[in-house]
Amino acid sequence: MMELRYNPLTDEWIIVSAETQKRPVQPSKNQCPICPGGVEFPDTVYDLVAFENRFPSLKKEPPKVDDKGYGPFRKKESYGVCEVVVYTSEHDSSFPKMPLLQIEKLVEMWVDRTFELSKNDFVKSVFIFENRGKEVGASLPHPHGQIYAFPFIPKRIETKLKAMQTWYIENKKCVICEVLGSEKKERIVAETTHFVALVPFYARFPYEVHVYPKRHISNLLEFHDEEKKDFARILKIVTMKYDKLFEQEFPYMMMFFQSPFNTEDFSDFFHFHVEFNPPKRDKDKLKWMASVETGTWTFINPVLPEEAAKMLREVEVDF
Amino acid sequence: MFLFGIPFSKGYFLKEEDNYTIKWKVENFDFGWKISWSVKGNVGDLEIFKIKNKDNFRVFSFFAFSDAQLMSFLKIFNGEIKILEEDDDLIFKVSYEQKFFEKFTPEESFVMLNFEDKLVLLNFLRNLLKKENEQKRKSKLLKLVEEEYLIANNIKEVDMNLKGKVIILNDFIDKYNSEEIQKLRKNNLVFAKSRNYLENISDVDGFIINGDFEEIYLISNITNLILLDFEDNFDLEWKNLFRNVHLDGINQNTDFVESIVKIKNEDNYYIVEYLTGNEKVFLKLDFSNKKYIKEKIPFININKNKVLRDDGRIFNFYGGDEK
Ligand SMILES: [Zn+2]
Ligand SMILES: [Zn+2]
Repeated sequence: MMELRYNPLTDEWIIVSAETQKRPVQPSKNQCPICPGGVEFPDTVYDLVAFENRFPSLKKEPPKVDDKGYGPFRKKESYGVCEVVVYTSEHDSSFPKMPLLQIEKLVEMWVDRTFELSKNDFVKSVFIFENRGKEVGASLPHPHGQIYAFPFIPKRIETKLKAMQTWYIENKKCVICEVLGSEKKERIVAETTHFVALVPFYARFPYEVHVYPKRHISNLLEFHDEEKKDFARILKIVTMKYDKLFEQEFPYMMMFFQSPFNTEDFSDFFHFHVEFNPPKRDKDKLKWMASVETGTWTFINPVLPEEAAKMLREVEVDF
Repeated sequence: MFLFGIPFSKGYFLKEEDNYTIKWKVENFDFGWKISWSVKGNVGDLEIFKIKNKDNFRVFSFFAFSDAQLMSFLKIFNGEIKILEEDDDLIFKVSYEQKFFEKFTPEESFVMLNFEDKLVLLNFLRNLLKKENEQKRKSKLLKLVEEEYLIANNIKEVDMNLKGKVIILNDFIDKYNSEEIQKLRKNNLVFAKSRNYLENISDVDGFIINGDFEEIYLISNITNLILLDFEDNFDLEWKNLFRNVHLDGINQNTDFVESIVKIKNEDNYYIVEYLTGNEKVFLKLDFSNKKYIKEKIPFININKNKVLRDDGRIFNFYGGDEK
């Protein structure tokens, strides 16, 4: 059973995908489906690989939805692509542990996946993300992320687009470019030639970090070669700092926000960015997406962003 | 003239179709008419307005005008504006795609203005749009950019600061005197010209493609004069330009235009960066030497191998052999 259902209360689409219930949950190491020799790669060795999810929520050729609903109950086909992106064949590695070269290759792969997926006319948004740690529901410890190529612009991305457009109309400038121009040291976590990592003024999560390219770029396809390499570097720095912060494998949701594809041009005011949303509020404490956060999209951040930035800035990493 | 498929007339209307309902009104307005509508249901592509004889009209991003008539979208909240030229018809459309509207959408609007003096109409439109853009409930940004304004107004004031602009000339410019051309030239402008205009002006710098390089007609088939200002809408305008031109040696189609990722100005070059399947191509347009250079770099710096599995899934392997 798979289809998109419309929620007229919030003007958003819900992906109904009954198959996802069959996903594996925390298998032991010898059952890892994405290790070489595992169920996805029975006789294959690989370096990096992106493949279509065995249990996708969206499909290039989704089942037909003949009955498009009635009254307030609307539905349509689940066009889209769901890919698993395996970062390395080394099961026990992790983003911060991977050599820089491997992350550089990963960036190349992300660029190419974005390009390939955006060639499908039905794709409006290419969302690259990683759920790390069981705290955020990662079902496999093997280093990997995912990509959802959506047939619509998801609600929160739409909200960002609208806000950034409004800012642009009123201020004649891209808002992230303006943030970059106005940020002082107090919220900066790390800076490289082409990127800035910071705990934003408007952080929703205690140790939230955003990565902004210094140049106005709206999606991965616009990255220059030096920017691609530098992007790998800043992501490694941020994730290493996270792991060292409380000397533990720091769970996070890492999400890339790119301008939409195959629709109007948002590139003037949409600035590519990465959000790290970690669920931790202290070494042993979690911040949940509970009623207020989920129900109202209002976040109560118990850690002052400037304090979090200072802690993360002072964690030294080298590689 | 047809409005929502029926002959144009003033008043209030309601049209109910299987999947959608439109209501609209046509009211008197300064210099003409204002048409406001709202829709409900699953509209898809909606034809707002159709003119039977398009010959006198020139089409811009969201408006079109003839000598004494200006038709423009004014307020759009949903959907994409499309102005199509089909046979003799000029069709103004809004594509609402797959959107479903449970109740009537906020009113969107369109104006038809008539007046002998184009400048007056353009200024009037500009003020209307300005007001729209100041509204709290924001319409999609419709902005009369300087270029369009000048083009539409037959470029009366060429002596404005045009430094760094690219000018494409064509037969339309025949009305233009050579003195003006000289002014442009003094300002170090770059010209691209279509063949039918070449003979007339021998001493214009430019992007003149003839013979070896010149016979390629890098730019031909231009139907409009296009003024490009690379400070504001540089990329966008270039893309529009490439929509109208024929590039030899490059598979010219809309994909090409869509695959352009960047156009930038570097000393004597304009660099058009576009993507093909797996590589990035840099097209260096060299105005001073009147030639172009094509450079390809792999779009990604990594090996790639695509495998189709028995179950129909595609696996993309990357890396492996270290380069
Ligand atoms: Zn594994
Ligand atoms: Zn920006």
